[in-house]
Amino acid sequence: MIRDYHSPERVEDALALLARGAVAVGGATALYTAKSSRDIELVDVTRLGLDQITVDKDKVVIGAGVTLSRLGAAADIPGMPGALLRKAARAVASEPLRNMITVAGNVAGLNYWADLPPVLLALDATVEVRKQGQAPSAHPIAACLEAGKHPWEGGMIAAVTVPLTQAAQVFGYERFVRTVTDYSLATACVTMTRDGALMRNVHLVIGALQARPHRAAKAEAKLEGKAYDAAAVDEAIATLGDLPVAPNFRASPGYRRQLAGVLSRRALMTAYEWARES
Amino acid sequence: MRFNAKINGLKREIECAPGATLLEVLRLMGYKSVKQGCDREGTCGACTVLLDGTPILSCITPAPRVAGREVTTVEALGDPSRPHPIQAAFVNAGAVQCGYCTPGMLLSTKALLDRNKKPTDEQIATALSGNLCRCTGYVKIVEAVRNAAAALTEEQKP
Ligand SMILES: Cc1cc2nc3c(=O)[nH]c(=O)nc-3n(C[C@H](O)[C@H](O)[C@H](O)COP(=O)(O)OP(=O)(O)OC[C@H]3O[C@@H](n4cnc5c(N)ncnc54)[C@H](O)[C@@H]3O)c2cc1C
Ligand code: FES
Ligand code: FES
Repeated sequence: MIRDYHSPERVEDALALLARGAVAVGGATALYTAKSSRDIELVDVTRLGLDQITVDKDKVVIGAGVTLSRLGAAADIPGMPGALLRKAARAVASEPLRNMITVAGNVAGLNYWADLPPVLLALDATVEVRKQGQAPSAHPIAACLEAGKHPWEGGMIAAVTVPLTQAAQVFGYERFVRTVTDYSLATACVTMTRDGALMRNVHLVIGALQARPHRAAKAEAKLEGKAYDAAAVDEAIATLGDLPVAPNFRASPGYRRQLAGVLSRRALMTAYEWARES
Repeated sequence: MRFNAKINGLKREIECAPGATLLEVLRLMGYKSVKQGCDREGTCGACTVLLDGTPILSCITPAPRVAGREVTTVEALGDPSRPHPIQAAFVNAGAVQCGYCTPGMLLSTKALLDRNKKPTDEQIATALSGNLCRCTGYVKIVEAVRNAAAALTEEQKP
């Protein structure tokens, strides 16, 4: 039961309410679909002015309240991070849902199917947290995705920051769904930086297989610091054969594990192809 | 809770429980074009309304969120004696069967054509991706949107 609904316009007012146990509501697409009997007090965090995308030389700051529609249309985010964020945001659910879902809600909800967390992990993003009476703090997305207490508890996510560099970065992104509005059965997101013929800072993130997306460290190690090599790609994909899969009703674990391998290969090939052409 | 919002161009005072959804409030106020298709799942789009011109799902929108903002339902478009060109296009193309999805389809179409006068079929499909129809098979709906775009462009010619 929703006991009270507050719509503060100042961050400080929202933080005071959150500190006393109220729950942040962004797009409401998770909170209002959940049939909760919990007695809660809500704080609408969409009127706090945290809906800006600010592009600096070395980073882009995406406000907590930016909707996926806005992110999907954010032509002002440059380079590989911009192209990847736009592609991932546009793939989520349906148009009215993208008009509602916020970046912070997609991260904080920690749903296994959420499409931004894998991409933010591949981009080495940081989550900016605000809490009453404390200085703003920044947390690597990888730490935020770990099980246990989340840095925003008792406060809120104010923004997500993605680093921008002048380096030649490329990506590959593959997400498998049965219908456009379905949840992903498996997702693979690759980012890497071209250094002459060599590929560095290889990130291969697998999403939708387990409760949280994770980097496939063994596969990354097979490719890090090397030029494109078909045999190394085969070896990298082979390391995915024992990926743990959390069962769900969408498809069998074996199918989703195999799918993750196929999608990872496709994502890698897209990234290598892009690197060859750039 | 008590707050003001503009609904179909008219300033209205709304009184509701803090946990009320926009769908519940609109239907209680008599805007019966706004339908509930799924059980607050956000999957069917029958409850689509425009919030400041943007399609959203009223079944999962907190009612107090619309305070000080503008909501548009199909009642604002037209009626059988004076249908909006989009409504006329849906009727003429045979894009309406049971009609349950139609209000949501019309509003998603309006939002699309307000920002894009000549959408491609792909853009139409994206704009209607949140609106499910059990009856028509969508072919006639896409045709209706194309015809509505042409009619609105014709209407705006000097
Ligand atoms: C039918 C349907 C299909 C969907 N399909 C997909 C899909 O394919 N891919 C995908 O990625 N998503 C999908 N979603 C969206 C996803 O399931 C969540 O609903 C969404 O990510 C939640 O975002 P929100 O802004 O609506 O958050 P809310 O519902 O407002 O909140 C979700 C959680 O985040 C917390 N929260 C919100 N804002 C903040 C903040 N600023 N700081 C701290 N905590 C905060 C809330 O307290 C709550 O715990 C779908 C949703 C629906 C209804
Ligand atoms: S009633 Fe189905 S999406 Fe709202
Ligand atoms: S006309 Fe019946 S659901 Fe679309």
